[in-house]
Parts: sequence; C-alpha cells; structure tokens
Amino acid sequence: MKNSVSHFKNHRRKLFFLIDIIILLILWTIVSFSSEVAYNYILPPINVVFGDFVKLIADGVLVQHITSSVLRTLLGFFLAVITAVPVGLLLGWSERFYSIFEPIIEILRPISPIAWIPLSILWFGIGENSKIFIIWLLAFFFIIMNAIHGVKNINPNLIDAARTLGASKKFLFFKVIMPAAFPNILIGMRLGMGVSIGAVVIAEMIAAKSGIGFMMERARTVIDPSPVIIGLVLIGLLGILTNLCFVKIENFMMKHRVSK
Amino acid sequence: MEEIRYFEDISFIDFPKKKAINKVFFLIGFFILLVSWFLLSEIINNKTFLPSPFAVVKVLVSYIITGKIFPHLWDSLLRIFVGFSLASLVAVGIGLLMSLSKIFNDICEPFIELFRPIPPYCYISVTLLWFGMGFTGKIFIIYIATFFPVLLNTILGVKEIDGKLLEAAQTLGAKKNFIVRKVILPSSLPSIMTGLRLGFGTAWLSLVAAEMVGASSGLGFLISDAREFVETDVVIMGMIIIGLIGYAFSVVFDKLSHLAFQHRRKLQN
Repeated sequence: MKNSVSHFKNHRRKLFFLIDIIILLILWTIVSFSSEVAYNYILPPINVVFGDFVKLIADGVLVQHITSSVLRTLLGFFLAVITAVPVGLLLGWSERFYSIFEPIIEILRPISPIAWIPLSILWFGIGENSKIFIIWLLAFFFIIMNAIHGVKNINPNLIDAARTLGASKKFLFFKVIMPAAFPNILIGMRLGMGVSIGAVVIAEMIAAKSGIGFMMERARTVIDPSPVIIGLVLIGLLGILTNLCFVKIENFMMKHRVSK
Repeated sequence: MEEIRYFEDISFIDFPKKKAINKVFFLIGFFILLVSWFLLSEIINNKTFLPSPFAVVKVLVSYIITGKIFPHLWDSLLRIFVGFSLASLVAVGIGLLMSLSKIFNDICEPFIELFRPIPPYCYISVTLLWFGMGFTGKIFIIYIATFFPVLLNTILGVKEIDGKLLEAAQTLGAKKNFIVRKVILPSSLPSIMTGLRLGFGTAWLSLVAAEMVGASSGLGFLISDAREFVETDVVIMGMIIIGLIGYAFSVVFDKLSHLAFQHRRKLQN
C-alpha cells in the first residue's frame, strides 16, 4: 500500500516537472518573438540556441572550453584535497595545533575567495596558475572545516573503546579517527566541488584566454546571447553531474561501512 | 530538497563549536599572521607583489581622508540592501505559500530544482547582457543569490513545526490567518533567520563578483580596477574591507537568530 502511494507521488512529481518545462518553453518563445531586439540580442528562440550549440560543438570550440574549465577545477581540487585532508585531520586531532591555527583560519575565512581573484591575477598572471590558486583556496576551506568538524565530533566511546583495548596512537589515528571522519570529509569535498565550478567560471570571466566563463563573457561583449545561455546550462549540468557522483560515492561508502 | 547548503560563501557557514575561541589565542594568531606577512613582504621586497601591512594601512588612511573609498562603499551597501530586502521578502512569502498549498508547491518545486544547480554568480554574463552594467543588473544578481537559501530554509522551517502546535491551534478554533501569523511564522523564524544569513553571504559574494566583471563603482570594481593599475596595496585593502563587512553582517545575523530562538522558547513555555 505504502509502495503504491509513493509510486503515485513519483508520477505526480514527473507530471508537474513536465508541465513546468512546457511553461518555461512557452515563456521563452513568447519573449523571443516579442520583438526583433529580443530575438537577436536578448533571448533567441530555443531552436536558434540549439543550432548555435551544434555549431559550437562541430567547431570543437565548446569542447575545448569545457575541457580547460574542467581540468583547472580538477587540478585545483586535487591539490586542495591532498593539502586540506591531512592538515584538517591533524588540527582536529591535536588540541595544541588547533588552538594555534584555528584563529588564523577564522581570520582568513571571512574574506571570500572571489575577493582573492584580483590578487591571484597579480601574483600568478591571467594563465592557469591564478585559477588553480582560487579553486585550491576555495575547496581548501570547505574540506578543512569539515575535516576538523568530523574529527571533533567522533563518538568519544569509539576512541575510549579502542584505547581500552590497547590501541596504539598510530592505530587509533589510521583505523579509528580517519574512517570515522571520512563521511564529513566527503561532504566537505562535495560542497567544495560544487562551489569550485562556479568559482572557475567567475575567474574566467574576469581574466582568461579559455574556459566556459571566458566564452560567456566574450560572447556578452559582442552581444551574442546564444553562447551565454549555453554556458549557463552547461554549468548547471556540470553541477548536477558532480553532485550526483559524490552522492553515489557517499552512498557506496556508507553501505561499505554498514556491511563491515 | 534535502540539500539546503549549496553555493553559499564558506564564511557564512556555521560550524558548531564545543567551546568559544580563546581570545588570547585569537590575538596570538592575529599577531603571527601580521608578523609573517610583514617578514614575507620584507624578504620579497617587491611592492607590487606583496606590500607590507603598513603600506596597506597607509593607503586605507589616505582613502578615508580623501574620501575616495566612500562612494564605492555606499554603492555596494545600497545595492545589497535593496536587493537583499526585496528578495528575502518575496522568498519568505513564496516559501510560506509553498508549504501551505500543496498544488502551489507542486508547481513551483520543479522550477526550483531546475535553477538551483546554477551558482548565482554565473548569471553575471546574462545579467550584463539583459540589464546592462547599471543598478538593475546588480539587484537581479543579488536577488537570485538571496532567493534560494531563504526560500529553502523557510520551507524547512515550516516542515519542522511540531504538528501538535498546529492541531492545538486548530482545535481551539483559530482561523487560518491567525495560525499563519501567530503559530507558523514565529515557529519557523529561527530557520528563516538561518536562510537569511546564508542568503546574505551568497549575495555579498555574488555582488562583489558582479562588480568585478561589469560595474563602474562598488568595492568589487575598486579592487578589480586597482588590479589593472597594479596597485596591490589597494587590492589588499579592498579585500580586507569586503571581508570585514561580510563578517560584521554574519555577526548581526547570528545575534538575530539567537533572539529568534529565545523568542520561540518563550512562546513554547
């Protein structure tokens, strides 16, 4: 009985999703055909945008922009993971390190990574390095905060149990603390990744030679609306995709933990 | 809709702490940061790469005395004030409507799901294309940035209300209007406050980003303009001001949500 109710609910949701997409398309078309200016310079109808999309793919331009954006994000994110996870675990574990470095983190945290973009361009130029720095910075704070939080909130019974059973400090760190803090670190990584995609785009809008953000801004300055809309949709899709990947990984890990 | 946090600024996320930061350690940390900054700038000895803290303070004083900073500050604050209050009013309204009416919720939910995955600051190009570099465009960006966190947290707040409270009010013959004003709104206020804090963080960040890409005033414009003239001291000064304003507002919202919690507790007793 319960199953059929949720089944019905699911159908209802899908139906409304469809209705909303149709409403959106109708509104889009009305705006596009409302005037010549709108048609050419504000919001071309969906078939024109799709045509431009196909053209951009055929040129290979779009793929090139996407790859450079994605590669930057992955590289910066990777650097953030290998720096933030060990430091975060250490800060969560050792009270002494925590009390020294926590104020420094708290002072630097309110300055949003977006505000670092001009400085990073001054330091690293408008090439790859400045973008990688921004993504590293952004993801670093997300992961380190969640890692510290994760270690601090481990059930003390777990640690006490391991200690009573005579676990060494090393064993405790690698076999108890690290696995227990892992779900939190994964959450930090997921949130950090979501924001990184946005940050790389805005960094590319300000100064770059390639990337999705660069494509959008260049099209904007010559008043060519199609690439701007295509870029926006692509960013949304990338966000959904990465979020889905992380949710899958999280579920897999949780299952693994339970079965253990 | 289980994921409430999505694109907000890390500086506005609240990590519950077991104990407050020790003030002495905070001062020591601040001191370490300043000294290492100073030593680094002495070693590098390149004013355009890393000016010393004193140079940044000097620039700040000169900007205040000549009054060059105030138009930028005023413009940014005005934009965030107008956009944020507009968006939060609408978002709280729609959030309440969505949680009260099932059909309205069904219609709106797919729209939210469709637009939420796009970070608000990625709308900058579209905004500049549609609204130009002026005031309206900035308001649009702030609006989008504020809307989703406030809306989602409003819905969450209503969902979390104790069902007994509503039943009690209904049994005692309260009208729907009364229930909304006297039961639902006060009970969901803490969650709404959380949404406002997160929304403000996202909005502030998006505004700075929008001002960097296309504007002729504002703090974001100030630092991105200074970058083009390689005035690193002005860039760092601007970053610190942006950080301070963000921090000040997060403290204000913290205090407000604390008040909201107390108010709710008082109501429940």
